[in-house]
Amino acid sequence: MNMLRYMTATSFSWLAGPIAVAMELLNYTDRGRPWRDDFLWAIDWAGTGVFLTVPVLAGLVAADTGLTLTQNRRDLTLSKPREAVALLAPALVGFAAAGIVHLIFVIPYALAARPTSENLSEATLMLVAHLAVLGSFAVLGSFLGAAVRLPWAPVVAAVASPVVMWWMGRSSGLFSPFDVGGSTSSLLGLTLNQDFVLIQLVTLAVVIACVLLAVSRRWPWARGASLKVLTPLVALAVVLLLLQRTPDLERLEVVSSAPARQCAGSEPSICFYPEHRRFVAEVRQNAQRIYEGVPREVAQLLPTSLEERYPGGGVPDAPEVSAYEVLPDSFSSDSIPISDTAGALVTPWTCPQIFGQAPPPEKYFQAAQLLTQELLAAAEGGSNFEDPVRVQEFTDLFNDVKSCRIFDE
Amino acid sequence: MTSVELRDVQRSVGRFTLGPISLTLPDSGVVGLVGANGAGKSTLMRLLATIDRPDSGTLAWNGAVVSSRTGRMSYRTRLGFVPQDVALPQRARCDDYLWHAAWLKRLPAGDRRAAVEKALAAVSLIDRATEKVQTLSGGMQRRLSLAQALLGDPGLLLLDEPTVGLDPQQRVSFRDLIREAGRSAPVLLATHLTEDVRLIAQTIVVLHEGSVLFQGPVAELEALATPDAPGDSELERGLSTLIADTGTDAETRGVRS
Repeated sequence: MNMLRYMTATSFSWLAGPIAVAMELLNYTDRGRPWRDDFLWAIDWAGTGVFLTVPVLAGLVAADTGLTLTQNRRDLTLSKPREAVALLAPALVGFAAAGIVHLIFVIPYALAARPTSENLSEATLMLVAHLAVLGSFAVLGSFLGAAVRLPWAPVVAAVASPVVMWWMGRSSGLFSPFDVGGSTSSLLGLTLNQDFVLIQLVTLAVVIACVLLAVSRRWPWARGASLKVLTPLVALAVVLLLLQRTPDLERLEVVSSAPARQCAGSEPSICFYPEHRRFVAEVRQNAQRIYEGVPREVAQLLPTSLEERYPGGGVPDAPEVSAYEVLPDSFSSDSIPISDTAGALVTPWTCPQIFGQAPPPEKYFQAAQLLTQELLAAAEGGSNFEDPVRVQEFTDLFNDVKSCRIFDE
Repeated sequence: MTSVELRDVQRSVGRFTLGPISLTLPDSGVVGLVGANGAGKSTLMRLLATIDRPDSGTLAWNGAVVSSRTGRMSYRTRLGFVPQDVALPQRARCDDYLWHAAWLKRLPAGDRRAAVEKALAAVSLIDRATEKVQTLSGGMQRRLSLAQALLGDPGLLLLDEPTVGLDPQQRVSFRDLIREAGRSAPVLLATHLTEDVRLIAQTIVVLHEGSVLFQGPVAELEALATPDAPGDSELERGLSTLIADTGTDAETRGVRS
């Protein structure tokens, strides 16, 4: 009790806890909502909470460490047997506060997102990586507090943390030790690369150990250069540089075998992955409105089945089957618009041109937009399909698109 | 048996070099450490507090050299230190501050409450235990800083300018505390106030430009005084004489091993 009261009265690091609560709430009310069943994504998205918390955590720890090392306080601390623990206490307290809050948020949300035995180990690894990143930035705050001192240490730490995390966490093609996820779209069809996470954890453990060593023995040139401190720091820098040259190591990789879909209804049947079952009823309703709004000649052209696909996943090889991608905007909202369904129905999934390196020609986009608008108008009961000429025009254009002729010069 | 001994210790800080000096503290009693600003008093205190390590030479505690980490930790648990211009956490309660200091000092959890109460009682602050540090006067805050040094019955007390800034009444009361502490453990009192040394120290160490000019009984330094030397007391005149003679025969005359 005495220690807790002393800590809350004299230090800032513990504030990482309440501030982390605010950050996690902000994160989950933005896109969170993991009750949507997408378990792996829910854990991945929680990484954004780490990203939001890190600057505050590092800044608070830097402030406390700097305070401990102010001219008229440091001697009292440095003459005590628990000198090292006292110097590292801000980082430990800050990390514990932020880490516990993160777990308190993520674990119930993860449970609400229906974990399966297959992806539980992936999620656990993701969470460990989240904690390792929080720990890394707690010790970075400690390091900057000892090196920069007050009054600038907390400012430098708070500004440097997101920069470092962005630079070394989101870079494409390079190893990103601070990558904690935060994908805005579904992770269906992707799996966590365990090699990546293991290397990430080892790297962060080395970072944490080096910084703890440096800070607990005090900044080396404060006492005269110490090889015991400098050697691991140099080794760390070399390791990080080497890892930066590991371009093929991506955090997420495509699953080797596609997961199974679950189908509902007929004409058209709606086949979605279980993680996105929440969309099925609305997509089915949207499809029915379209199919019932168009004349029979047009309805016969439309696919008999809508099958969900994920980016990078396979596409249907039969024209009567349409793929359906849940777009990021729909994924993060509670509703899926009918325009997405209409767009999926007119997309020529069997045409390789829509997946090519070069963008499809403008006339394709114009045709797809026109067809989509006709279907939407029909669904709303205001179509031009009462005019046989209009039906013929729609049929011709639809056939041009579906047969890939629209891509011909 | 001697408690603390410095053997040929040298430490350079920038262009200033302390030593090499050899110094022995007795089992108990107050030893005054005097010298002008920049003489090396605080550098010596930091060496004795194991905050800094000597460039050469050794620190011995009860005959054993304090060199390994274990030895240093063991030495620190028996050390009470009041640095110069120490800043206390103003928003903490007095007892919480001492509790934290006891934890830093590795006092067993079961002994901490008793140790805190004993230290507060020793500096007459037991009735202010639950009050915040910021409610204490400057003199009381000095006593509280002494209380943290007294935690766990230290085997050595290092006090760096503890009476600076206190009013005359507070200084009298603080001297009593230091005198009392010196009955059970050696106290090294670094100060530029010779009055404090004259009234409470049995022996005196004079530092001048990084070297020990004198180490011996206070009376012996007083005996060096010449009638025309500047100073308000025999001790000050003795000190002035010693400093003035530096470079002549002072080292051979004054330094005691």
